[in-house]
Amino acid sequence: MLASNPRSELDDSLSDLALLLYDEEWETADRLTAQLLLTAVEQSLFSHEAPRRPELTTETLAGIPCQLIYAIDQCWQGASGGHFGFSTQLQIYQETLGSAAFDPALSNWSTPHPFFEEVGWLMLFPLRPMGFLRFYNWLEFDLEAPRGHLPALWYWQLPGLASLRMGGFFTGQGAGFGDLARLDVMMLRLSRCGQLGGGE
Amino acid sequence: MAENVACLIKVVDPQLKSDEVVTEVRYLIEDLRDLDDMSQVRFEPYSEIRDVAEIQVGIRFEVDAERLGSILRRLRDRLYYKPIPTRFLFQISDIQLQIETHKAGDLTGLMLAARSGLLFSPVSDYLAEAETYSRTQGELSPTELDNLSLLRQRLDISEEVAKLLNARAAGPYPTQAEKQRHFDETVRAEFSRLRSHHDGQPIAPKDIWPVLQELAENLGLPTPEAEALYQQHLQRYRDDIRLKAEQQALKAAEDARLAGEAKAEGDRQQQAQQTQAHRDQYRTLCHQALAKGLYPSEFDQGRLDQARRLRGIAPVDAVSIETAVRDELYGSIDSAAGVNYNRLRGLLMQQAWQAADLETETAILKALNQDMQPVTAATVQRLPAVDLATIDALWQRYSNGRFGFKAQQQVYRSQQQILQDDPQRWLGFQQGLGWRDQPSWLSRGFRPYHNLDFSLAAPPGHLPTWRWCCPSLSHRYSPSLEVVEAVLAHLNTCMPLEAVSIPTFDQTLVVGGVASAS
Repeated sequence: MLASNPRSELDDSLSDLALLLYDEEWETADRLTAQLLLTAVEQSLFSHEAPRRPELTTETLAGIPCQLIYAIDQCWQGASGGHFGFSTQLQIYQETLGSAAFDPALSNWSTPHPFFEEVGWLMLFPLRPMGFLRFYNWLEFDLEAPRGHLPALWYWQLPGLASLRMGGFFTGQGAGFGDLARLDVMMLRLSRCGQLGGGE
Repeated sequence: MAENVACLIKVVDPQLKSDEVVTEVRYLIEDLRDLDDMSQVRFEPYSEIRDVAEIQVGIRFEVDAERLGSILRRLRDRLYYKPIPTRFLFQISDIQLQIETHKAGDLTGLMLAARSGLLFSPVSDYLAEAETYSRTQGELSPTELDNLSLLRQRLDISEEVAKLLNARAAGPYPTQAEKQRHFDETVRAEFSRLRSHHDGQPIAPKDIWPVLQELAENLGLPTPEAEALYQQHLQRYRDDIRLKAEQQALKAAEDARLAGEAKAEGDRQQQAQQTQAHRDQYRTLCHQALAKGLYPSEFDQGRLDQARRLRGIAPVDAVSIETAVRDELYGSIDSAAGVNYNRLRGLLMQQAWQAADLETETAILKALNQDMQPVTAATVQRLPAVDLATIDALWQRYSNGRFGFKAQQQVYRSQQQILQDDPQRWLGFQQGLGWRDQPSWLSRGFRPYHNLDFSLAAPPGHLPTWRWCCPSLSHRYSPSLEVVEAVLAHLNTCMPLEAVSIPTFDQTLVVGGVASAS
């Protein structure tokens, strides 16, 4: 939920985001996007839990306000002509769900989720041609990148321990297996918010 | 009282000629002689010198005092028909009474006195005076009483007799007030008689005045006062008549108005009945049109539009009728949270189970109105019972009772009867619904959402899934136990299952069964 007090602050951040995207500062805009999500999580935590460092976990992602998601998505969609943004990612995710015979129950080192391949998040590394994701700063921050490549930092930002569990080394999602649960939570959230009919 | 009265009657009209006077006197004699017991009376002529010759101008005779009354009446009648100035002279003992008049009325009083037999005695004199007084004002005023007292002394009448005479002169109603009251009562009685006789029809009340006037005279009530009283009553009578007429007019108008209203009401009812009939016809038509599908075909829609226009049904009403028929045919889609379950109903009709499951989630999250966040143990109670019942009824209807919340509750109850501790129960519940496989050493048995069975072959209660309380689905479909418990409790509150007697199980058997199952 968005509290009423930091409303103007949020509006400022959103217009900042729009400006950055307009200037095609993709990486900065991606960092700001993750920051916006974290701020929203922080606010929702404050209301009923002891304050702690906000993280984009399965639980917190499921509660991000639809309005914020919609606003951020509008910025990305507008600036990239539909190339980047949450709704683009959701669209790709739903397509891959329908097409690929993919069993998420299996451990996914041999067959990464087709979504990662589609948006170009997979490490193209000849020695380890398996389902590892790229390091964050190896991502492509321009319109040449695959569709749905950005925003990405919301997915990369992991607590150290989770990063280790996913096969990385305190590099967030980088060099680790894609955390399917988190991806699915976010996509489910996007799809549920989509049912609201966008915006207000 | 057998005294004799000496009478002298003389015509004194100066305008009559001598021969006319003689003729009048002759008629007079004949008239008087006609009376009973007068044949023996001797009429002596009374002559006077007039125009040189001596002519007879009157008669003189003597009669018994008791006859005087009838004589006076005859004389009065004569004056009534032919008012000739005449002088009457009556002498009884030493009292002389002389009257010169041409009016019949002047003889009336004298006549009454004569009839009472009291004329021409001290007593009768006194009485005449008292009656005259009494007649002038209707009662005896103090001055008149004083006068009478003097007269009494002169005539040498005793005080007791005078008192009696006074009372007699005053009549049965001695004071004017009493006379008035009596007259008033009589007039009132008269008018009430008129009212009862001529109900509603005003009559000319002039007819009763002469009689009343006579009554006033008899009573000794002065005529102006009597007439004032009469006018008063007359006015009241006329007012009454007018009032009655007005009331009747009012009543007629009111009756007309009521009749008009009744007619209008009748018309309205008839119109309402007609409208109802039209609506029923339209409803029947809707039934036929919707029998084939949720929405009428183009052809049926055309027929419906035509029928609607033909029967004068408002578009809004038509829509509500169609909606009611659709609900009746395909299940109600009531919602307390303003959610439209039309799409869910359509999907279930098409047996599109997976899409219907997704739509169920959307509907529930919208009904919860929590920014589409998944349902938690804390928020589940906000789901309205109406909405849950609608969803359950739709699933049940289109799966022939296989799916729906009720089916899930039933599965839970059967598991509850078999299994003992909570974790076992939850596991059993999820397995019973087919939401989870048997845990093994390799996996914990969770199934991803898209591996669930979206067909009628699925176990009872398999659908709708509770994806609306899961933050994540693709990795594994597993609502948290805390939420499951809360949801089941809420379902039980909203739509409790019929009570079933729980059979008692042998403890050892149950434990053994569970052990072998796990």
